[in-house]
Amino acid sequence: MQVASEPTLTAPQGEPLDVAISGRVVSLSPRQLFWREFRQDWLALAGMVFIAVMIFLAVGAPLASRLLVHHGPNQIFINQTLDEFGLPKGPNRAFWFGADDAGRDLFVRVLYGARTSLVVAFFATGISVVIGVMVGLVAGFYRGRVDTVLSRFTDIVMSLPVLLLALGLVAGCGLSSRGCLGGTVKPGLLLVSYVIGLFNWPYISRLVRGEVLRLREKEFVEAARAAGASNFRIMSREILPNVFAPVLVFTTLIIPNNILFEAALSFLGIGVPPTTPSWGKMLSDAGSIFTVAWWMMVFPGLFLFATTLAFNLVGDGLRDALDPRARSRRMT
Amino acid sequence: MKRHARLLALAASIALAAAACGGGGGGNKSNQTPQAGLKKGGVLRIGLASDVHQALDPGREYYTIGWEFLKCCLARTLLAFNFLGPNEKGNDLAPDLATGLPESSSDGLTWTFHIRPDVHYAPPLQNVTVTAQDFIRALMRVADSKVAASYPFYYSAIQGFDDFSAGKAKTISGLSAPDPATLQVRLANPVGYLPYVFTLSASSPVPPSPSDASAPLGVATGHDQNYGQFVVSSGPYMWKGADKIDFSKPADQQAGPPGFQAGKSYVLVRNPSWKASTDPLRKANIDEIDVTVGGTVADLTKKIEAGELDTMDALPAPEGIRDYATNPDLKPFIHSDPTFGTWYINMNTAMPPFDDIHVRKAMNWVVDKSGLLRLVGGSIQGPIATHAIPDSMVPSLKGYDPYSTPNHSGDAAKAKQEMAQSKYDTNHDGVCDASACKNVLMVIDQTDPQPKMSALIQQNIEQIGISVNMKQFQTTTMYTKCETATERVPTCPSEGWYADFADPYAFVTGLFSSVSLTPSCCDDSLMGATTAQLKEWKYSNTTPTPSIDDQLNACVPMLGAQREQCYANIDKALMENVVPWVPYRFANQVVITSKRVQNYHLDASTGWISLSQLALAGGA
Repeated sequence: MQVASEPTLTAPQGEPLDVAISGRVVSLSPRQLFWREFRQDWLALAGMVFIAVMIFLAVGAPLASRLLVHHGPNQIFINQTLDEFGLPKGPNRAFWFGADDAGRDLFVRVLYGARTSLVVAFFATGISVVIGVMVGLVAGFYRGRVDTVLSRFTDIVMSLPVLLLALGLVAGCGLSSRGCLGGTVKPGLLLVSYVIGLFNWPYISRLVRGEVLRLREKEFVEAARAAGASNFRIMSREILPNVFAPVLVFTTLIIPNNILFEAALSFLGIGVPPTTPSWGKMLSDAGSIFTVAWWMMVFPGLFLFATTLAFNLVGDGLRDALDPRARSRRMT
Repeated sequence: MKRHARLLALAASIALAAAACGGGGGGNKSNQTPQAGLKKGGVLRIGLASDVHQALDPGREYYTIGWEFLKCCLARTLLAFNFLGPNEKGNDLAPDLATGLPESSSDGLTWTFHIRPDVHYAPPLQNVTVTAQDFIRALMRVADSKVAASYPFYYSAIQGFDDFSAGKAKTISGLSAPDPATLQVRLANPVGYLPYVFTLSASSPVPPSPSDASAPLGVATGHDQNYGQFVVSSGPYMWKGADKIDFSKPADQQAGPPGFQAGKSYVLVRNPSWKASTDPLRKANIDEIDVTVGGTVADLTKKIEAGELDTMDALPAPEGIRDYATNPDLKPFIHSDPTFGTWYINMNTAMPPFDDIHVRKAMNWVVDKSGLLRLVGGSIQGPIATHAIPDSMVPSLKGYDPYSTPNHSGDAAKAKQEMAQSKYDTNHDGVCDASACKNVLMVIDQTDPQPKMSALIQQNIEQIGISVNMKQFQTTTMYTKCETATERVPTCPSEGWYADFADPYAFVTGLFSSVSLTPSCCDDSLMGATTAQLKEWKYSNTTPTPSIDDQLNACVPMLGAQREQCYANIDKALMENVVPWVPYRFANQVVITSKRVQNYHLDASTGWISLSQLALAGGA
């Protein structure tokens, strides 16, 4: 059993929660409860730390590459990195992760690849979350025909063959420098993010709709309605904050999926532009010669694996920490 | 030539994984066994990663591998070569079904071929001999629009050929057979390359139909699109079971031979009618050739290493090449020989900034050709190209290098000197500062290693202020975009060109003549475009582009050394006065074979293994 240290367990402002610990009653805020649970999950903490490091590396990739190796991700070093048959050389003092088969520094490209993965992780997931929450919120709150229409639309999107459609869209919009939809969508990382984001929102929508259907019958919603609050206010001020926790948990769990989806698109050759480093593309490039250039697969693969694992661990930790049932199970 | 030459090149380049044919270099001949030590017999087993393209129809097939099966084995022609490599006199014309080289009239308009006597077709027509009329039949088939032959343009110089093709005449007036052993060819205008077009399989003889002697296309009648399996062989091999074909039946009721299973397998067995005494060019050591279609390059490579296959149509992966090239046990079984191909960066002479010759010259100075060569697999893939026409076609050009840089790695200083003279470098500091140099569209082939090579080119030309917007496409799409003037593509760095035969006419005309401009193919650099054409294609700069049409036309009727010098001069004009390309590699053909394959030679006329010369260890 976990015992909170007394001096820190002061009753917070707001809505305290009474918890019986060692026969004493201590009031903890939801945030304190969450943190107390989360910090005990060392795997989730490790994941959080790793993600923070990756964000730091991704943001600082240009600076790091300039300071550490003095060149960018697309600079080619033919004579230093390729043998006479055009095969890349492995890790050495000058090229820590070795080189890829184009004669580029794999270390710098892995660093820059983190940028690609994290942009997709947050931007594409952000699109999914925004659309999913809005659709789910409206469908669950209004019910009836609105719910029927939105839910069927959600079902339709869920039934689409995502990978095939994504392949088609990315390839279609990537064929011309003008992109598609009148130039609104242009080839590149953002296009990939749009495509990923636009196909993943139904899962969040369903989750939110279910939560909203439950919450809209609660007393505090009834109270707000009795007080004359508008539907918009009820949705935004009363219900939305209460679906935050499950959405957060689910978001952390779909981030790795999105990272892997981008990697898959890049692996298939239609993801990010050729000059944009991407772990998926690096793995794709490594596929044909990994027997003689293991480093081309190992380093981007390790980072991709570690990053997705980190997000999954954080997601699991969040779910456990935010789920009262899980908490009670652990406490008993 | 033109588009079709390009397709041949493409086919070779795709199927051979990185590059297929091309020009200069030496070649590994360490496993060659003296002819005297060779034994006859055995079954050669070939794995094809990709099928032939036009079902081995002599008039339509336009694929390196398909050409070899036809030229080696099935479809002899009036003239041929010795079926050896360019460095083994493989470019020299030799009589095949003709008794000698053709006689030309003094005006160069009439050519006479004498047909070798006593050459019989394969069963079931073993009693039929090859006659002059059979060649006329073949060329009528080439001209027949229903057949959609792949390269009828080579025969356009024959009087009446185009009229027949257009349906304006019932015969080709320029072809006549005064007697069964004499073929006369009358030309509308003299062309020095004429003998070469009678080495192409489309001109191989078509025997008369046994059931209808008046059928204009003989046994090919009714087989407009599927003649490949019904070819009555004049060579040392025939399709297994071809002797059972009943040509007395209507074409649609004839059953193809079991040895021809399109897309799956092809089996060639000895043609009992063939006699070595009437065919001095082909050794025909092997008894049978079994071809299977399918499998990955890795699988096929393993099967060759294990001795389950003898060769394949594809190049091993780079590590495989390294294994073969560095392992003393394997080294004798990797072969690299020059062909008639050049890989190059194309520049559209009508599109800024490449409408300025100084920019084009600066490109030639700055590109790291040795780096490009290394990215494509190293020197085994061919020597660095220092000019346009492969040395293998015009040997006198060997050593000509107007943009020589240390180790062929590019020289930024010289490039900047050149760029400083350009109108696009307004402050003349050697770095292009005009907007035309920014974000220049570069259309590339997405097939490995082209994107990597394009990235190196991108890095190279940034030194002279040119930045690119790189777009990659599937190979055929890339070529279509680059050869279509209305696409207005400034530069295409992934292009390769292979000539259909050893004469330089086949190399340069389709590339640099204004007759090859859109809607024809493949004057991708838009040489010879007029103001009216450029306006029609919506170019911003409508100044006529450089033209070498007069020089090209002047070379056409020439013969011998004068002809070679003429084309050498064209090459120099291209490299120094026009500069439409940055040529970077004369492509070699690289092939691996099993340890039992002996007497390997490249067949310069096809750019692939010379099947007619191979032998197998132990023979039968």
